[in-house]
Amino acid sequence: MAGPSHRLLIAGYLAPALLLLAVFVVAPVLGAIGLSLTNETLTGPDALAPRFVGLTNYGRLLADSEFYASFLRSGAFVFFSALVGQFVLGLLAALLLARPLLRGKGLFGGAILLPLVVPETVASLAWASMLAPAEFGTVNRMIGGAGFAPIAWLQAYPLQSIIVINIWRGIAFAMILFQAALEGIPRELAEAAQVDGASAWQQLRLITLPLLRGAIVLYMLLTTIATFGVFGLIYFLTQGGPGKATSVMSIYIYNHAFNFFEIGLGSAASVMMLAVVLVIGLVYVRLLRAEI
Amino acid sequence: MRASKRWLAMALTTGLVAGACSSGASPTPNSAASQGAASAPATASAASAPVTLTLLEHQQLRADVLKKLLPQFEAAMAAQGKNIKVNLVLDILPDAQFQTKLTLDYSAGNAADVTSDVGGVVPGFAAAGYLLDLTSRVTAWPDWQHFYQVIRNQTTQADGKIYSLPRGANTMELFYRTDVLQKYGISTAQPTSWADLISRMVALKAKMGTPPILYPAGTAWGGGSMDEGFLHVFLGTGGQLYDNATGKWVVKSTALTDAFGFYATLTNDGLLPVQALQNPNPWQPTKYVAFPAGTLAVTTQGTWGWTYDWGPTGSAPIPNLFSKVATWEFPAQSGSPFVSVPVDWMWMISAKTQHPDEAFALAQWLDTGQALANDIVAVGNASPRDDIQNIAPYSQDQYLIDAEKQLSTGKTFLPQVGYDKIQQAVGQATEDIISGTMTGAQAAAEFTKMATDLLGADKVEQQ
Repeated sequence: MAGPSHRLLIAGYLAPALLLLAVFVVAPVLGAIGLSLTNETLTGPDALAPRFVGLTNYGRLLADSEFYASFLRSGAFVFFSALVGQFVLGLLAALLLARPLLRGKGLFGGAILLPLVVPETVASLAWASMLAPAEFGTVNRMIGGAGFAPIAWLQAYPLQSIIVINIWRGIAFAMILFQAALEGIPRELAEAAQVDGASAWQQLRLITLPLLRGAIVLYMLLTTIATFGVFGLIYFLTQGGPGKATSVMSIYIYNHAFNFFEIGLGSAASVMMLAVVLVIGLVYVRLLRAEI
Repeated sequence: MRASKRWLAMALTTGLVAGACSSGASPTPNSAASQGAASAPATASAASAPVTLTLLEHQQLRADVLKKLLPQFEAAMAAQGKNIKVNLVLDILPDAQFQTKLTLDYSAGNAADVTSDVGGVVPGFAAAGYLLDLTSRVTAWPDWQHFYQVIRNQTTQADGKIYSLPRGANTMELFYRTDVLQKYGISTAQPTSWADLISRMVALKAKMGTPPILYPAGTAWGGGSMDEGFLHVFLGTGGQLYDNATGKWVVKSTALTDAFGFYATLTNDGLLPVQALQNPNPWQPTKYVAFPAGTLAVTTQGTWGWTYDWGPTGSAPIPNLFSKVATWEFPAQSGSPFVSVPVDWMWMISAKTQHPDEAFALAQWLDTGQALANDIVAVGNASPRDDIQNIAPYSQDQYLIDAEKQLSTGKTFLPQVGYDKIQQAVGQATEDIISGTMTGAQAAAEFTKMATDLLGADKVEQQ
C-alpha cells in the first residue's frame, strides 16, 4: 500500500530522472520562452543590449506567410513519411517477419535495420550521391537503363525525395516496435480465428490491429515528435530549397536563429512548434484512450 | 490509478516534445577554438611575460601559409624581447558555417584572440561589442598611410572607429573563357551595357546549348549571392543601397527593381544555370565543373579566381589558364563599365582578449612586408597597401599587381550594420527569381518586405 515510506521510495527512484529532465529539458524550454519575449540577436546593436519586446516575435510569426507554409510542409512531411510510409511499411515488415515459416528472415530484418544504423550525415551524403542530377547518379542510372532521361530529383521533386528518404530511414524503428508488440499477442487467438474460418485480412483487422493499438499510439506519438524535429537529413540534402520547397519548421527555426541570428524570433518559432506538437501528442493520448 | 497514468502519459509527452523542440534555440558553442581561447593565460601581459595567443583559421590554403609564418612572428617578437606564442586553431569549414560558428563563439564570449573573415561581418560584430577598438593603435601606426584610401575607408565603421585590419584586397570582374567565345564567334570586346551583355549571351546560349553566364543567386550561395553577384549588378544602376545621410538602408527604389529585373531577364532567357544554383553547394557544378569544362563561358569572379579556384593548386585547375581566361569589367545598366572593389577579408581581434597589444602586434606583423606577400599570394589576393610590389612572391604575380592598380579607381560599397540581413533578403529574392516563382518586380517587393522585417521598419527607407 502507498504509505509515506512507499511514496518516499518512489520519489527517490524518480528523482534522478526528474532532475535530468528539469536541467536538460524544462530549463532550456523556459529559457527559450524567455528569449522569445526579447529582441535578442547575435549581431548588431541588439546583441549588445537586447530588450524585452513582449509578444512582438509571436506577432511577426503569425503575420509571416512563410511560417504557415513551413508548418504545412512539416505536416506533410510528418504525415506522408512517418504516419503513412514508415507506419505501413514498418507494420508490413513486422507482420512478414512474424510469419513462422518464412525463410531468410534474418537477412530481411537486417536489411531493413541498416538505414537506422547508418549515421544521419552518411545517409544524407549517400542519398545525395544516389539522387545526383547527372547521368552518373545511381537512381538516374537505373531509370536510364529503362530509357528515361536523367532527373534532378532533389530539385524537381524535393519534398517527395526527402519523404522517401525519411521513410527508408524510419521503417526499422516501426518494424522493431511492432515486431515486439506482435510477439505479445497470444498465438491461440490467431489459431482460434483460423478454426472459425476468419480470412487473413479479417484476422489482421479484427484481432491483430486492435491488440496492437497501444503500440500504434506509442509509435505515432514518438514518430510524430521525432519527425517534426528532423533537421540534419534535410539540411544536408537541400538546405530547405530549392526555393523554400523543403523548408520545414526545423529549417525555418535554424535559418532565423543561426543564419539571420534572430535568436528571439527563432525561440518564438520553437515555442510555437513545441505547443503544436504538444497538442498533437495529447490528442493521440486522449482520443485513442490508449494506455502507455 | 487510470488518472495518474494519464497524467504520467501527459508528462512524458511534454518531456519528449520539449526535448525535441527546444534544441533549435539554444546556442551551445563547444569548439576547439573556444577551448583554445578559454585556456589562454588570464594574466595581464607584460613585456617579457610569456603570452599565448589563439588564432582561428577555417580555410586550408590560408592555414598552410600561417603554419609557416607564425614561427617567424614568434622569432621576430623574441628578437624584440617579447615572449609571444601563437596557437593556430584550425576549424576547416565552409564559409557560411564558419560565420555561424564564429558568431556563436563571439556571442558566448569565448572567441579566439585573433581571427579573420569576410569584411562584411565587421559592422555587425563591432556594433555587438565583439571586436576590439583598434582606432588609436591603427592611426598611430606609420604604415597605415601605405594602405590604399579605399581600403582605409572600408575599415572605418559608421561610428568613425576602426575594428579590423585588412587581410588582403581584391577586385571583381566578369571572367570569361576566351577559347569558348572565339569558338562560337562571339565578340570578346568589353560589353558596354547590360543589354549588350545579354544579347551576346543569348547568341552564345543558342550556339552552346547550355546556360552561358553565372551571376551567383539564391539562398544556397549564402552571402555570396550578394557579395559575388547582386552587388555588382546593383552598382551598375548607380542607385543607393544605404543612405549615409539618414543612416538607413534603402529597401525600395527603381534601381533595386531594375537590378532584380536583370536577374529575371537572365533567368527567363535561360542564360543562368538555375538548376545548379539551387544545388546545396552551387559553386561546385558551376565554378568548379562547368567553367573549367568550358560549358559555362562567363562568371563573376574575384582576383582569387586565378589562384584559389583555377590556379595549378586551386580547387579546379584550368590548364593554360591565362590563355583561356580573360576579364571584362562589369557592364553597367547603361554607361561606363567598372571594376568592383569589394570589402575583402579582415583581421579581427576579440574585445575580450587578455592580450590586446600582442594580438594587435600579430595582426600588424601579418599585414607587413614578407608576411603579407606570402599570405595574399597563397589565396590570390591583391595587396591592400602600396609598398610590397617588389617583395616576392607577390612581385612574381603580375596579375595581382595589375588588380592592385585598379583598387583606387573601382567602385566599392561599404557594408554597414545590418548588411547580413540585406544579404539574406537578396539571397531569398534572387532565389524566388531563379526558382521561377517571381518576376523581377515581385522579387523586388519581396526584398522590400523581407529586409524591412529583418532590419526593422525604423532602419529602412524607400525611395
